[in-house]
Amino acid sequence: MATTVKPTAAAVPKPRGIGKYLVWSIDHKVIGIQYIVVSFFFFLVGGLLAELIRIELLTPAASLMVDGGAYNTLFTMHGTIMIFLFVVPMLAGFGNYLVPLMLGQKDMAFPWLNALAFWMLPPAGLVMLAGWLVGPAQAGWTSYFPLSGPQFSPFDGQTLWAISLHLIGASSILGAVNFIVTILNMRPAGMSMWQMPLFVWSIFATSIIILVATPFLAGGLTLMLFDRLAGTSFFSPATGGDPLLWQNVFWFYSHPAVYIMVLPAMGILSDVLSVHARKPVFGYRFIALSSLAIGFLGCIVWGHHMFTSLASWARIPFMLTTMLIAVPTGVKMFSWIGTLWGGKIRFTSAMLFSLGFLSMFVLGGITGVFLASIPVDIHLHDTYFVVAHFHFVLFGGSVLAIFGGIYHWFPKMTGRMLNEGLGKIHFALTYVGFFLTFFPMHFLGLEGMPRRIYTYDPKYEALNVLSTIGALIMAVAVVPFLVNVAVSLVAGKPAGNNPWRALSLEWMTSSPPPELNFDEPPIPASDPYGYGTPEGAAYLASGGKVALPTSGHGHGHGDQPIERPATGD
Amino acid sequence: MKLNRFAIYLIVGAVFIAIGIFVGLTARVFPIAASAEAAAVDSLFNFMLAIAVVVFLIVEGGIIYSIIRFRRRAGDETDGAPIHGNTALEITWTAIPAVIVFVLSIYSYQVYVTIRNPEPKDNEVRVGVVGQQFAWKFTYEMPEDSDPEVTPELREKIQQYMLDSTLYLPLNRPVRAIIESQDVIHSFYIPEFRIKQDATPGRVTEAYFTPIEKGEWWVVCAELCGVGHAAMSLINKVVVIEQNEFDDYIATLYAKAKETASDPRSPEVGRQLIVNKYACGACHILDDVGLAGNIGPSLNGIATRAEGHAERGEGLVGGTDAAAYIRGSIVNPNLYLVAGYAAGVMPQNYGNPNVMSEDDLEAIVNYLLTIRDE
Repeated sequence: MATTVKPTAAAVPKPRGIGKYLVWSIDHKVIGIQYIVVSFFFFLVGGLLAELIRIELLTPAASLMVDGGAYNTLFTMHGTIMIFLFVVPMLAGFGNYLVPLMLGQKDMAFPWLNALAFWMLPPAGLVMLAGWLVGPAQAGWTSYFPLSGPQFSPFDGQTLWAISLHLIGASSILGAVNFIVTILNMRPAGMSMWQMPLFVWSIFATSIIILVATPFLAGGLTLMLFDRLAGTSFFSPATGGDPLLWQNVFWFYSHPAVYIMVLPAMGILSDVLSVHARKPVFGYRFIALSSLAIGFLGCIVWGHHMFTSLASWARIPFMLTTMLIAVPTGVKMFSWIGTLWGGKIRFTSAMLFSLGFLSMFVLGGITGVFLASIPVDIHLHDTYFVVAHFHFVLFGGSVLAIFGGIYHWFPKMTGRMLNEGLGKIHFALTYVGFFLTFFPMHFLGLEGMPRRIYTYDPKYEALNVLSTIGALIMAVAVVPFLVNVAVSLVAGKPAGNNPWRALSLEWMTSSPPPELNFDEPPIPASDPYGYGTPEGAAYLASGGKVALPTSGHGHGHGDQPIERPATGD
Repeated sequence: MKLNRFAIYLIVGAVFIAIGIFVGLTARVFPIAASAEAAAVDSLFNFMLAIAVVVFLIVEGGIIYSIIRFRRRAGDETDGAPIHGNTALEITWTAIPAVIVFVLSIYSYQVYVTIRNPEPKDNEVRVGVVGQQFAWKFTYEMPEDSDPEVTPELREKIQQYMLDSTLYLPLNRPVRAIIESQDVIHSFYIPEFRIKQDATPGRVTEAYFTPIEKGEWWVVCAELCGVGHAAMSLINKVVVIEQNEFDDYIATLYAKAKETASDPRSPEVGRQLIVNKYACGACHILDDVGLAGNIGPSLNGIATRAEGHAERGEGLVGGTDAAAYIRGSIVNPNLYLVAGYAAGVMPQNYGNPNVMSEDDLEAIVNYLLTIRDE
């Protein structure tokens, strides 16, 4: 019998160019970009829905929408898509691309699992969008029972909504396990936990939250599917269920989800501010620890979403924990200003978006304290004040940081710089449009305008017009960004290894990095934020070949310079 | 030099605090404070606003100062000073916010237990608030009645008709609102009272407030409740009146309820139920009583159409006459769908006698049988 030759891995041709992003790949860089591109597509979808919402709200009477149901679908899908198919996977994409590079590794701990986690996302997105074919979900992104139950939402879109979130949740849990294992076990020699870039810290804290909270979403969705498909009544009061059970389970996940969306954005911010202000991060340990503190507190504040439905006494502990969360958040804000203070600030697009985050997120944080106070929240709950608050957190925070991150790391991912002129136009339009859209909503809420309505009392009209104008400016703002990306991909200025002269390891290799990231095992700088120190300057001058221990400040370890061992082992 | 800088920080801090206090004292961002509770909430809000303004100015001031003072000058390729932190400063800016939120928590707690005090008050008015898709209805307690013919059984029956689509309340008396929902979650919200409480099906919840201004305002639904959620915020009003006017109102309502209880299936009763109890106007048009909803099919001429269906013998369920068509359309709305309207939009629970009693159903059917094409 003739023996057959087994095909080896090398015998299978690897797709090149764009092709490699369209197929199964276990390269974390490919997966990172797959996440980023897919979630950006959903940003455009969610944004389109937001524009339709704002156009409908231009006048107090119904104009665009045929009925309340169509409008309810708009904001249900807008919220769900922006949270679950844009912000969460976008930040997972940054994490996938950057964490192994920042740790000087070839890949994540479990590359195959990583690919599996990503490939659950496109089907989840398609299932979500398929809702429109069968009668889309219209019970809000919170999908409170009994409105989302089989009696009041007979359309199959609500079932598809739950299935889609189930897939995204599972994907998110797989990703979190991978990050935790990678960060705890795969740091290079010479990098303790306290020498990791703060972005890695933020992904670490986020992954812990995901691992603790997301199973509750999965449990809740499973019960929802049973109620909808199998005739059970976990949440239906008519047959002995309890609608508040859904609220508790849902918010036990969905409040921490806010931090899943904000902590990595804060990690991006810490890195970008330090690099572009040429100054060490101020209070590194406070920032790192505050991520963990926010993660912990974030899991015990969910009841503040239920200040008008929980029993009176049960609201009080949630007020206290919610108030407390302002403290670690404040620590971060002040530390970032401390980072700017005394720096040599470069107004790159990445920096402008990060400064935009700083100046806008603070408002979202402050209004969060108002909403933590039960008597004030009773008036403001489910009004436009809340809409303003969480958009200052999630757009003023997460989205601005995401854009900052794209301008900062695009050169590493593609080998080409983005155009700074277009970047600044993009920033200016986004910043102005954002503020104009969401700032007036505070006053609408204080006046008592409820959320989720498509016709409203004419006394609210003037501020709604302002808000819609702002939304249209934001829509225009996307154009220079898309043009910038398209043009820069083919004709952008070559980036070189380290265009920002940054100290963290992802810059100590070519742009884009080779398939296994580093030609030789890299040596981390003893302080990833050692700007202005002789050690940092020497490290940069050597192109990442020699790392000296830092003098003082308690970040460095060891007395001897760490040099790369002779290669060839 | 060092002292000078410290002095500048002090002056800037004092100016920020002065601005904060000024804003806290002068800001008027709320609608009229029409309840006793509203004043307490507004004071708390303005206190928080004063602190918020100071924090906001410090942060934005720090950012703006930094980007001007510490911008890179042309040609400067050096790095900033390698300052990694300042433990004393970091402890300070952890401790001060901690103290602030501690104070705010205590103040908020005090206001909360004052405005949400479930203890029975001497002269309180008890009203029932029921949320339904897509309107509120309000129930009132009956006045005393010395008429010997009014038996306890009759009283019970009369109570069922002590309801209205407008919430009338007497001035300066504490109100205990007892809140329920008969379908999905709604949220009882009167912005001018700063009061909001969810109406959760399967639960009875309460809200407490004392109206201190005469006037009329919308009763809003703050929780998404379905296709008619927006309409539900612009359909019912709360009207605060003098005590004697309130007494007159209750007396009139009682007299009407007594009359209804004696003939509960008359068309006139049905006419009132459609408006006051079942909020058909949130979705349907009916010119006879001024209903103008745009979600479901028009009810104008419904009797003529029902007779048409009966004459053509179109497989009606539970009878062969026009009444069967109307009754079936109410208790089982998906049975005879009007072309162009979706199944599952109208509440599906009117067949439940706890939601719509047999008397009410017959009264409504009898009334709708009088609505013919002109």
